[in-house]
Amino acid sequence: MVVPAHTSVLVVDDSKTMIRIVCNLLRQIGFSTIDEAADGNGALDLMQNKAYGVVISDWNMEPMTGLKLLQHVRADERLKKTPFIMVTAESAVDNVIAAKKAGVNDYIVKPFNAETLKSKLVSVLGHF
Amino acid sequence: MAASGPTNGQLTQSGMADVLPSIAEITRLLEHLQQVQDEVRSIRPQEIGASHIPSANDQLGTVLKTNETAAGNILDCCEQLQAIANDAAGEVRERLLGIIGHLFEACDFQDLTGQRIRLVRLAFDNIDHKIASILTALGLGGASPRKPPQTAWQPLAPSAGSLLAAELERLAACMQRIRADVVSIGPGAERGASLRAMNDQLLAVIDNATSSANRILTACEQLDGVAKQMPGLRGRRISAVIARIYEACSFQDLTSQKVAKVVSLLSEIETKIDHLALALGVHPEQDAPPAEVTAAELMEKPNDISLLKGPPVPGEGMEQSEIDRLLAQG
Repeated sequence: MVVPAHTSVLVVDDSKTMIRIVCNLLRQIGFSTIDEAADGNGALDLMQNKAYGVVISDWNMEPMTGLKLLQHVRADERLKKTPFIMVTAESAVDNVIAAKKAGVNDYIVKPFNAETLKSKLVSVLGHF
Repeated sequence: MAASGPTNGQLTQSGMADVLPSIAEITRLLEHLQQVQDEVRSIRPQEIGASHIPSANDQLGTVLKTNETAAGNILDCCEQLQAIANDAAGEVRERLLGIIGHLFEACDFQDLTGQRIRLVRLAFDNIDHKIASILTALGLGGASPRKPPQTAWQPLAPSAGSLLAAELERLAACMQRIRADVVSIGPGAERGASLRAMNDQLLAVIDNATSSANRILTACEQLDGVAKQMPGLRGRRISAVIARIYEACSFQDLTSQKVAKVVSLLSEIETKIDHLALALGVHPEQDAPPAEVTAAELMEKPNDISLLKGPPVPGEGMEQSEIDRLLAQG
């Protein structure tokens, strides 16, 4: 499967620095349609109006965390098939299990590099 | 207590004999409390909330601001380099893009530092709250200290036996709560609030900053090599960007210095809490750790908030490869 460069990516993180890092790494990988949100509520608002090829979300955000966002996405008939990658510093086994149970497609632990991000996108979207 | 009950407001002889041990016990507890109050006064634990924690929070606030500015400046530089790379071609372009990628990755120190410092600040708030609670319970807190517990005594009167029993229970519960508060902030306490965990997080902040600065400086040296291969304006533009990145790397020195001061303040807080524990006869290391939630329980009912622990300190947490294996399991 080849993922077109115009596949829309939604990056969700409350850290402006991380948003800039992830967005720039995505551009380096070849994605050009990238939107951003500062928390789960903002992400859901965007998702109501646009279909995204993949969501890349931090976990630790307020008021809606990444896990809650994932649970909302999976509970929504229209959004539930959207691939979802959690990118977080939370690396305890409990967190990974909770994310898996909620239906996460992949899980990246911070700090990460462009290679890891690319390999997870490939595993979720197919080769590109 | 029927046999010792009052008759017309008077205790019977046998009733008096029944309550005497309780009176003796309350007297002993109050004398003990008085001694504890005197010892605690001499330790001056209120300094923790009045000066140590505000000073530590100021230092950490500066670290947050410095890191945010530095990361922002380095990312600005990365984006300028990206524009230069887009104009270049062939091997030079590829090399530039590779180096820029490493620079982007290295900027994650700001996010991790922010998360670790948030954890430490929460723990400071917890300590402040617990110390205030201990001082209030001992009748030593606030601008107008609460009167010590003995003022709650009632004179021997109807239901004197019940009152004594209730007072004994109240005193015991008060001491229990004070001890629990000391235990919960001491070195033997659970991870979230303990001084040892705070210390580990602070040391991890220094490690993160040092490691990121080294990665950024390595990338700069590689960039310098590329700049030398690009004569003319583009080479000079890259050199100018490198100079700005070097300037931004001063965040590492400032972070280390400020965090070292907080570590030192934490050590003073630890000393005070140790003395407080000693005064109260508490041995935090004997405190049993809290029961952990099992993975099976989590699968049944994951609790989003309780799962948020922040970045792990070295030696804790799972590696990416372990996470990948866990996710791959059916």
